[in-house]
Amino acid sequence: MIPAAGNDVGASGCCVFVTGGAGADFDDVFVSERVGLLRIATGICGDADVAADVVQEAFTRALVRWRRVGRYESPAGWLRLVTVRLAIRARDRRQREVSTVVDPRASVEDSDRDIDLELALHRLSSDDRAVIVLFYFADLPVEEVARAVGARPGAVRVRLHRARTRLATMLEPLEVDNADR
Amino acid sequence: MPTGDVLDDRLRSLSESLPIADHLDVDAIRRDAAGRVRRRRTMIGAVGAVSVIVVAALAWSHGVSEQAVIADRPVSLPHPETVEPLLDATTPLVGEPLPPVPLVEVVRSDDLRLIAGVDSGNLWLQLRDRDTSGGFAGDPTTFPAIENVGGTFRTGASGERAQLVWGVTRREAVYVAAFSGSANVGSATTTGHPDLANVRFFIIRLDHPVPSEDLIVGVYDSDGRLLIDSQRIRGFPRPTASDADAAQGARDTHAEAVVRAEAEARRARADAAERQVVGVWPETTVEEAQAAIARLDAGADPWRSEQQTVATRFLIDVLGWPDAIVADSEPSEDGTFGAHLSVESPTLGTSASVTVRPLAGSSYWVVGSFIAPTPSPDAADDGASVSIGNGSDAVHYGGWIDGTAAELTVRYGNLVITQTDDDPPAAFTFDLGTVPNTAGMVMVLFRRDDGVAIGGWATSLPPGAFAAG
Repeated sequence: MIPAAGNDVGASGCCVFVTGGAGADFDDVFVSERVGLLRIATGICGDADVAADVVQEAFTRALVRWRRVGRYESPAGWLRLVTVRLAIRARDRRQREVSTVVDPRASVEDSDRDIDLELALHRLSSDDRAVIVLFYFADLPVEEVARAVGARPGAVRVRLHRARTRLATMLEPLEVDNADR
Repeated sequence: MPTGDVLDDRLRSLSESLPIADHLDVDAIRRDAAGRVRRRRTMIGAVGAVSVIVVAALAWSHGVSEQAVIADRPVSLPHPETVEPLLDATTPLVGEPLPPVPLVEVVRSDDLRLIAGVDSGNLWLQLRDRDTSGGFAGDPTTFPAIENVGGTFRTGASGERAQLVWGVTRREAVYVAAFSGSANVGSATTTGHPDLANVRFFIIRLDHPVPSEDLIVGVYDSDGRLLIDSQRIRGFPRPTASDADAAQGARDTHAEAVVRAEAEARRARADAAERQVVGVWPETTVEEAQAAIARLDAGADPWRSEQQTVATRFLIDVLGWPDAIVADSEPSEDGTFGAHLSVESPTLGTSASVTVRPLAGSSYWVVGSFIAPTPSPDAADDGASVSIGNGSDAVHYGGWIDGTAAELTVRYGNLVITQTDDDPPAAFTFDLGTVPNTAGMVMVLFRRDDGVAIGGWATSLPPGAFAAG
C-alpha cells in the first residue's frame, strides 16, 4: 500500500521520516539543534552570516509545518536535510555571484584556524563539501550523511574517499611551502 | 601529502575552530512562520496549470508518448564541440539484434507522430504530419534504417516557426539538444517504448526557421554529460540496396497495408501494456495483483468490485481527504474498459480526476492514474519530467501549492522510494539502485501541515527504464 497521510515511510537511503508519537516541542529542538545546524551550514557555505540565514530559514520552514515535522521520528534529521539543501544552494549562488574565492587569511587573525584546510574545502564541489562537513563537522555516521544528502551510503563512502583524496592533494604543496618558511 | 589520520584530525579541529554566527532569533522565526501560513491560506484556491509530465505520463498509459521541450530544467547541456563525448565514435546504437516489432507510435507532438518498427533487424521510422482534419491519417513518410542521430528538417503545419528535427538514439540518452553554430536552438527529453527497450526517440522543436548551416545534435545522459553527437554516432546496420528497394516499392504500393499494420500494432501494444501495467493503488505489480485477486475472490474487501468506491477510498486513504463524492463518470477510451471519475470533496472544495481500470483483467478495480489541481502562481514556470533507470533517477515536478510539502512516492513492488521537499521549483533525485523489472508507479502529492494532500498526480510506470517530460 502507498504510505497514507501521516505515515511517511521511505527506503533506499533517501529521506526517511517515520511519523509517530506525541510530537517534539519546537523550542526544545531549536535549542538542541541550533549550534549543530549552524556548524553544518557554515562549513558548507563558508560564510557565518549566510549560514545563520540558512539555519533561520530551515527553522522557519520547520515551524510552518511543525504539526507534521514535529511528529517525525527525527525532526532534527528533517532540519538537517533542509539545512544542507539550503546551504548548498546558498553556496552555489554565492559562487556564481562572486567569481573569486576570498582568502580567509586576509580577514582572520585567529591563529588557531586551519586556513589552508578552509581554502582547500572551498575548492571542493558543493556535494563533496557537504559530505565532508556532515561526516567530520557534524560527526554523523555515513548512513545519516546519506539521508541528509539523498544518496546511498555506498555512494557517500565513495564521495568521502574522493573528497579526502582531493583535500590531501591540495594540501600537499601548501605543506611544502610552509615547511620551507 | 598529509596522512589520512592527520587529515581527519585537522578536519575535526577545523569544525571546532570555525566561527559561527549564533544570532538566530526564535521570535523572528515565529513571526516569519506565522506570516507564511497566512499567505499560504490566501494562495490556496487559485487554479494553476497542469504539469507537462502528467500529460506525458497519462498519455503513455494510453499507448503514446508526449514529447515536450525542456523548460527551466536544471541540467546544463554543453555544446558538443566543447566537451569530449563519453562514447567512442564506433559505439553502435544498440549492442544486440533488435527483435521484430510491428509499427508502434513512439513520439507524438502537436503536429506529427513518429512511428517505429523493426523488421529484419532494421529500425524503420515513419514521420506523419497531422492532417487538416486533426487526425494523423495522411501518407506516411518512411525512413529506412537509421544511420545517424539526426533525421531531417520539417516545416510544420504552423508555419515558419515550427521546424523540427527528429531522431533516435541509445537507451542511456535522456536529453538531446540541437546547436546551430554555438547557439542551442532546441532541446528535448527522449522517449522510449516498452517494445523497443534499447532505443530512445526524440523530436526537437526548433523555435525559428530552418538554419542554413548544419545542426549538431548532442545526446546527453541524465546528468547532462555528452554521450555522443550527430557527427560521430553510428546507427543500425543499413539494409541492403535490394531490401531498401523492395521496401520502397512495398511502401509506395501498399500504404493501406501500413495503416492496417499500424492498427494491429496499436492493439498489440494495448495488450502488452495491459499485461505489464497494473495500476497506482492499491496494487502496482502483476504479483501483487494475483495475490489480491485470490484474496478478493475469497471474499475480502467487497468494495474492490465498485469503481466509485475504489476511487473515493484512494483519495481518502492516500491523500487524506475528509470526504469524497463521485460527481461524474465516463468510460475510458484506452481499451481497458475502465472509467474516468470526477471526484469532489465538499469539505475541501477541491476535486480530482481518477482513472480506474480492471485489476489484471479481473472484475475488481484498481486506480490507474489520478490528477488533482496543482494551483500555484509559479506553475507556468515549472517544467516536469520523470526519468527512471537512465543513469540517475529523478522526478522534476511542475506546479506548486505554497505552504505544502511536495511528497514523492515511487514504488515498484516492495521497492519504495519516498521523499519530501519544501522548496519550489523542485526536483527529486534518488537512486533506485536498479532498472526495475516490474511495473510500478510514481506519485507526487502536495500535502498540507494537517496531512491532507490538496493536489498532485500519479501514474503507472512500465517495467524497465522510463523517461518522459
